[in-house]
Amino acid sequence: MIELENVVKEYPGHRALDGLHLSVPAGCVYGLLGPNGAGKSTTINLVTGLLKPTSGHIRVGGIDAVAEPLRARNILAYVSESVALYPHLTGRENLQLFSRLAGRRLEESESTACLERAGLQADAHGRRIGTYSKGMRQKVGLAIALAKDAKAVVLDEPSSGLDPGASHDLAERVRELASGGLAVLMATHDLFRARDTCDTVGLLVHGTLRAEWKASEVQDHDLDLEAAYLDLVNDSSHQSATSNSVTSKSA
Amino acid sequence: MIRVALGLELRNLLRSPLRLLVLLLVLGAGSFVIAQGQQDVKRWQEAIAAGQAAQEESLAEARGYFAEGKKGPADRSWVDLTQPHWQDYYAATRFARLPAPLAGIAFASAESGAVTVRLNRFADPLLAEGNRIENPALAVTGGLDLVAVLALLLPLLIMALGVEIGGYERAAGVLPLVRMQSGHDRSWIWARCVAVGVIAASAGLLLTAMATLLAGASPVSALPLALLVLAYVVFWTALLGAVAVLARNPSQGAVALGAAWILLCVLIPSLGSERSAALAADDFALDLTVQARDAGAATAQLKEDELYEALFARFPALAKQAPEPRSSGVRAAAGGMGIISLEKRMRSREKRGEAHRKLVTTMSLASPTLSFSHALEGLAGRGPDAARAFRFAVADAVAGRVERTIAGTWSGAPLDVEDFEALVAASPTSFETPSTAWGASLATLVAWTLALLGGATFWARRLDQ
Amino acid sequence: MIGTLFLNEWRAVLRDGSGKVVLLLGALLAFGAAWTSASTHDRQEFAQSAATHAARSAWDQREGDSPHSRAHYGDFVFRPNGPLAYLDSGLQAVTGRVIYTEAHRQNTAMHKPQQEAASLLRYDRLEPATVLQLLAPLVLVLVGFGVVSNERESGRMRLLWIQGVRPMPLLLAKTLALWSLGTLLCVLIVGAQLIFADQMDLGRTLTFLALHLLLLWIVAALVTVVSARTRRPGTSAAVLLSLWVLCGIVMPRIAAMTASALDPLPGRDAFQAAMQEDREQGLDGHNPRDARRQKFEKEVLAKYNVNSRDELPVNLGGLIMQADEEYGAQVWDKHFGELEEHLQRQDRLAGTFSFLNPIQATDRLSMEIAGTGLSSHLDFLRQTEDYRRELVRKLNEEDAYGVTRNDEGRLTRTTTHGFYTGFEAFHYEPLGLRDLLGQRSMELAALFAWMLGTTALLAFTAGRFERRGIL
Repeated sequence: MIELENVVKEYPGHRALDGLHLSVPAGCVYGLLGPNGAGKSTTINLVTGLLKPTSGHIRVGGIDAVAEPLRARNILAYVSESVALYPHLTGRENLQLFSRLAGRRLEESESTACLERAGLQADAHGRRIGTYSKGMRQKVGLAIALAKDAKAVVLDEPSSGLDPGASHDLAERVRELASGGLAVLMATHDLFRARDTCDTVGLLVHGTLRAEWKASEVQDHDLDLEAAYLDLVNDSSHQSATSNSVTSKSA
Repeated sequence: MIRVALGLELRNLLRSPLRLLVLLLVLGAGSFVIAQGQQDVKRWQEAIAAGQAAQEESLAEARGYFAEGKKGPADRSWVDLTQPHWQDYYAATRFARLPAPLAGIAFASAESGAVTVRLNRFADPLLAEGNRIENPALAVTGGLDLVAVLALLLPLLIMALGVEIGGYERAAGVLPLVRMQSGHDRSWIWARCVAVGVIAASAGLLLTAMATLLAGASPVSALPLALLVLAYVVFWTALLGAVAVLARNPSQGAVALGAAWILLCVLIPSLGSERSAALAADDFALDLTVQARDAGAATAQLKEDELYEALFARFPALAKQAPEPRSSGVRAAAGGMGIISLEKRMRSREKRGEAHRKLVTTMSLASPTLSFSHALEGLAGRGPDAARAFRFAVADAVAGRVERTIAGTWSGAPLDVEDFEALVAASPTSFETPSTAWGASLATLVAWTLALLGGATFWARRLDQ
Repeated sequence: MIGTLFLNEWRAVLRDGSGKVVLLLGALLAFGAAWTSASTHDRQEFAQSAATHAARSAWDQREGDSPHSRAHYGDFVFRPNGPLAYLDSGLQAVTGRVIYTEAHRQNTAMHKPQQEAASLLRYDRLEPATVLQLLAPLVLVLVGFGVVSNERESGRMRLLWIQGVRPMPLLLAKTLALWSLGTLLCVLIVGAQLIFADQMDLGRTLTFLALHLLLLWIVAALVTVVSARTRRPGTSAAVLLSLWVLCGIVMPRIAAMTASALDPLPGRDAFQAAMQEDREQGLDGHNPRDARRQKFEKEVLAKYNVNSRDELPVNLGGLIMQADEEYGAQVWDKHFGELEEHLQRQDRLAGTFSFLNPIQATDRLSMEIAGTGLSSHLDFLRQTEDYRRELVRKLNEEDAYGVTRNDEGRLTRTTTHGFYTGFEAFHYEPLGLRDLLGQRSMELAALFAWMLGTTALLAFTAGRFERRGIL
C-alpha cells in the first residue's frame, strides 16, 4: 500500500535519505526505528507529500504520490506526535471540520461513532480541545483518520510523551486499524512498543534502511531488538566518522 | 550586572543585522532631518535678509528726498515726508522674528507665525503669515523632523533592541539558570533593559549633539533638549522593563510593546487632534472677520467724547497732547481705533488659543510622546506659543507707531530727517523667541516613569505570590 | 472547502478572548470616530451657515457706500465642508476656512482650524478615514499575523495538508476571512454615518467604501502572505507591525519631506515681491502702472470722443479701477498658475510613493472622494477668485456707469441700495467625482497594481507550497 523505491532526499550540503526502499502492505503495521537525524521524519514528510523527493518513487495505494499528491492524500491519514487541532473548537467540531475538508460531511451519529471507535470517552466529545490531554488529542487524530476512510495511516512518534496506559491504549487502536485492512507506517523511538505493535520493524540510519525485521523474527527468535539497534547504529556512526575523516583528508 | 548586560546587548546588536539596521535607520533618518532642518533655518534667515534689503531700499529713498530737500517723489505730489503718516509709511522697517538656536529640530511643525513683518501703523499681526508657502497636501501628513524621529522612532529602536527581553528568558527557561547563577532573575531583566536604554540614549544624545553643533547653538541651550531626550528614553526603558518582567514569551512582549507604542504615539495624539478639530468647529471666527470688518464703521458712529475716552484709555500719554478744539483732532484720533480694535481681536483669539493650549496640556498628561514633542517644539521656538509671542510684540510696535503718528499729527509741526531717523531708531528690529517652559513636560515624563516602575513592581510581586 | 475554512477563521476570532477584544475595540473605535466626526461636522456646518448669514446681513444692511468703497468693504467667503468631510476631513485642518474677497488683491485663507494647536497637527485626526486607513489594517495585522504561521508552528498545517486542503484555497480562505473582518469595520463606519450624519452622497459614499475595501483586501492578502512565508508567528507579527509603522506613520512623512526637499516652493515674501513687481512694472517688465493708466485714459477719451475726463458721461475712476483689476487678475493668473502647478508637481512627487505604500494611495484618493483633497482645495480657491472678480467687476462697472452728469456738468451717482442687496452670495460647486478621480489616476493605478501584486503574491506563495511542500 505504501511503497518507497530508491528515494533520495537532498538538502544543500546534506543527504537526508539515500536510496530508501520501503514497502508497507495493507493490514501491516510498519515500525520505522532510527536515531535522531536518521531520516524518519523526512520519510514521513515525503510519504505525506509535505516534501518532494530529490529522486525516486513514492506510491500510496498504487498512486504516484509525487505526480498526483492530491489523489494520494485522499487515501492517506496522518497522526502526529502531538496532534495539533483548533483550540477554539470541541473534539467533535474538530473532527467535523477536518472531515469536511477531506470532502466528507459527518452526521452527529457518525462523528460520535468515530470518536468512540478512537477511544475518546463520550463526555469529552463536546469539550474544547484546550482542555484535552495529549492522549485525548491523539484519539481525536485517530478519529479523523477513521472518518476519512483512509487506506493507509502514517503515525509520527505517536507514543512520545504518553503515559504507559495511554500508550498501550493507542497501540491497541493502531492494531485495530491494521486489522481493518489499513497499512500503517509508524515512526517511533519506542523499541518496546515497536516490538509489541508492529508487523515489520525497519531501522533507518543515515538515510538508508540498515535492517528490517519481521515480527515473527523478533518474537519467535527472541531477538534482542535493543542490542541489535545499538550494534547497527554504533557501527554506522563509526563508518560515518571514518568516511568523514577520509573525505576531509582527500579534500 | 549592568556591565555584563551591556556587553550582551552590544554583542546582540552587532551580531543581529536586523537590529543594526534599525539603529542605522534611526541614526540615518535623524542625520537627514537635521540637515533638512538646517536648510529650513537657512531659508528663514534668507527671508529676514530679503526683508532687511527691502527696508534699506525704502529708507534710502526717503533719506534721498530729505537730502535733496524734496517732500517726496516728483510724480506723487500728495506725498509729504514732513507729515507723520508719510514718515510712518516710508520708515518701513522690518520686524524680524529670529530663529531660536534649535529652530531646525522642529521644522516640520505647522507654523502659522510670520518671520518678518513690515511695520507701519496699519500692520496686522493676525494676518501676517509665515515665510513658507505651505503645500496643504504635504503639511497635512505632519512631516518628519528631528522631533518626529526622536518622539516616534526612538521608542521603536528601544522596542527593536529589547523586544525579547524577559519573554525569551521565560519561554526558553533561561530564568532558573540566571537565578541560580546570580541570585536575582528580575535584576538581570532590568539590567538588560537598562543596557538597551543606554544604547538608545546614546543614539538620541548623538543626534542631539549633531543638531546642536550644526546649528551652532551653545551647549547650555541644548541642555534642556538633552535632558528631555534622556527622560524620554528613560520612560520607554521603564516601559520596556515593565513589559519584560511580566511577559511570558517574546510574542506577548512584542504585542504589549506594540500596543503601548500605538496607544501613546498614535491613538492618544489622534484623539487630541480630533478634539482640537472639534474645538475649532465651534465658530468661524466671526469676531475676527465680519465684526472686525465693521469696526471702522463702528468708529465713525462714535461720538467725539467716546472716541477720545477710548483713545486715552489705551494711550494715556496722548491725553496731555490733545488739540483744542478737540474736533480738529478727531480724524487722527480715529486712526488710533484700528489698533484698539486689533488688540481686542487678539485678546479674543487669545481666549480661543487658551482652549487649545489647555487641550494640549491635558493630552500631554495622557501621552508622554505628545508631552515630549510639545516641549521640543517649544524649545525650538516653533508652534503656537512662539507665534503668539511674536504677534504681541508686533502689536506693541504697531501701537507705538500709532501713538507717534497721532501725536505728530496733533502737534501740526512739520517733521524733518531727524524725526524720521528717530522713528526708525525707535522701531524694534528683531524679536528673539522666548524659551518656553519645558519643566512640566520633564515632570510628566518622570511621573510616567515612576508610575510604570511602581506598577511593574507591584504586579511582579503579585505574580510572585 | 474555502467556505469551511472561512467560517472556521471567524469561529476562531469569535471564540478567542483576545480576538473578541480586538474586534470590540475596532468596532468601538469605528463607531466613536464616526460619532465624533459627524458631530464636529454638524457644528461646523451650523457655524458656517451662521457666519455666511452674518456676513450677508452686514453687506445688506450697509448704507451710503459708493460701489468702490463697497468693493473695499469686500465680502467673506466661508469654505464649505467637502461632501464627505465627515468621513475624511482631508486638508481642511491645514487650509484656512475664510477668504476675505476685496478689490485689488487676492487674500489667502484665514483661520486654519489647528493653527493654535500645532503640536497636535503632527498627528492624524481620529476620524473614520484614519480608522479605516490606519487602524483597520492594524486590526487585521493583530488578528491575522498568525493566520498561517500559527498553523505551521502548531503542526495543524500537516493535518490540513493530509486532509486534502490545497494551498491556494487555504490562503484564499484566510485572506477572505481577514478581508471580511475589515469589510465589517468599513460597513460599520459607513452605517454609523447613516445614524449620525444628516445627509449622504450615495455615489461618493459607495466609492469611498469600495476604495477602502480595496485597501483592506491588499492588507489582508499581505498579512496572509507574510504569515505564510515566515516560520514563527512572532516573526510575522514583527514583520507586519514594522510594515504598518513604515507605511502608516513613517513613509507618508518621508514622501512629504522628499517632495518639499526636491522641489521647494518659493518663500512667501519672494512670491509676493514678484507679483508686486509685475503689478507695478508690467508683466513684461517694461509697462509701468502709471504709463498703463495714462494709455488707458487716452483710449477712453478717444472712445467717447471727448478731450477731458470732465466731459466723460462715465466715471473714469471706475473704468481705471476695473482695467487695473483685470491687469492684476492677469498677474495673479500667471503667478498663482505657476504656484498651483508647483503645488501639484510637489503633490505628484509625493504621490509616486503610492507605488511603495498602498495606505498613502488610499489616503490621497479618499480625500479627493470626500471633496477635501488638494484638487478640491485648488478648485475652491479658483471659484473664490472667480467670485471675487465678478463681485469687483460688477461694483467697478456700477462705479463707472452708475452715474449721470447733471446740468452743472458734475457726475452724480444713481446707484440704489437695491443694487447691493441684489448680489448673489458665493456658492461653491464641488468638483464631480469623475473629475476628481481623473486627477488621481496615478494613485488609482498604484492601488490596482498593489491589488494585482498582492493577489499574485498570494497565488505565487500558494504555488510555492504546492511545488516545494508546505514545510
